[in-house]
Amino acid sequence: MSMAQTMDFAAIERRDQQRLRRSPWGGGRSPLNANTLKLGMWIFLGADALIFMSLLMAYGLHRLYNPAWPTSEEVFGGVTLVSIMTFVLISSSATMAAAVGAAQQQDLQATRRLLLATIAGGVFFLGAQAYEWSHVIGAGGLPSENPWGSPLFTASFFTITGFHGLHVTIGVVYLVATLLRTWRGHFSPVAIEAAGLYWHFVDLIWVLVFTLFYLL
Amino acid sequence: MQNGAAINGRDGGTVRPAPVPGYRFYWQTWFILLVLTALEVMAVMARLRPRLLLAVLLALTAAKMGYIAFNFMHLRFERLGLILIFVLPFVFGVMMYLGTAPDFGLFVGPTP
Repeated sequence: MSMAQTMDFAAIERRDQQRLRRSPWGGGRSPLNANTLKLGMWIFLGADALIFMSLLMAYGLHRLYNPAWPTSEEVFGGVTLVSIMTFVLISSSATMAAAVGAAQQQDLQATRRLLLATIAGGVFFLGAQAYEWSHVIGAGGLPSENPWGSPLFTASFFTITGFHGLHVTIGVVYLVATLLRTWRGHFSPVAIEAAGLYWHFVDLIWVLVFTLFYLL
Repeated sequence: MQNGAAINGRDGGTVRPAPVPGYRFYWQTWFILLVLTALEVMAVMARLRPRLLLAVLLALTAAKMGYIAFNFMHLRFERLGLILIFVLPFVFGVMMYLGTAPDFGLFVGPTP
């Protein structure tokens, strides 16, 4: 390969860069004007949303086709516990958003306190969910058996709340790791924002599950 | 970090940071979410007619999801492309449901 051709490649790359910056995709090497860590998290969450939507869609279709679908009052005995769980998860989402705000203002102490509050909310939620699961299992509900009617109800209940609970568990681990990293000198607002995006997503999915499973 | 200052992305490109809202913005969103949740629970307790209840609950849920995504996740400060990455999967999910539901009797009368 001659020297002249190498020069040409460099010129083409420069021209491409300039064209990109002028396009709606601008930001040079950063499409969508987002940090790569953040963009990666958004793409992951989009894919995760598809998984949740297919699970919820299957749940909806099972429910349409089964007249013997139990009401949430029969199974859970009201919505008090789950309302408290929702309240805690929404509040933990608010403290997480505030933690991201504190991190962007370089307020390390406030970030740590708010992250800790978020983790506490997540742990409470998991405890309440374990309590609820034990209640359903204790009454004879299993993925294959449902004393209140169609076993498809318990199958979808354990699958969807279990999958969501797994996300909460991973989120708590993720937040604990993010918190511990602040003591090891890793304090990056973008990393905390990405952790926050994951946590808000878990909250957003819970809002859907709360309505579709417990209220309707 | 000052609002509007450029930060370095991991790939070396410069990234314009999103505007930084204050705490007030988050607490307001939190309060709105709690009010919407309370309305949902009240709608269930008021024992509305099933179709009305479905419509009310779905509208309130969509509003809550919007507040979480656009305020807490700052989607309102992002570009359209990024918004679509996250919003489209939900639209696809609803389309998939509406496309399949007629086979299950949603729009054609009672199930067998």
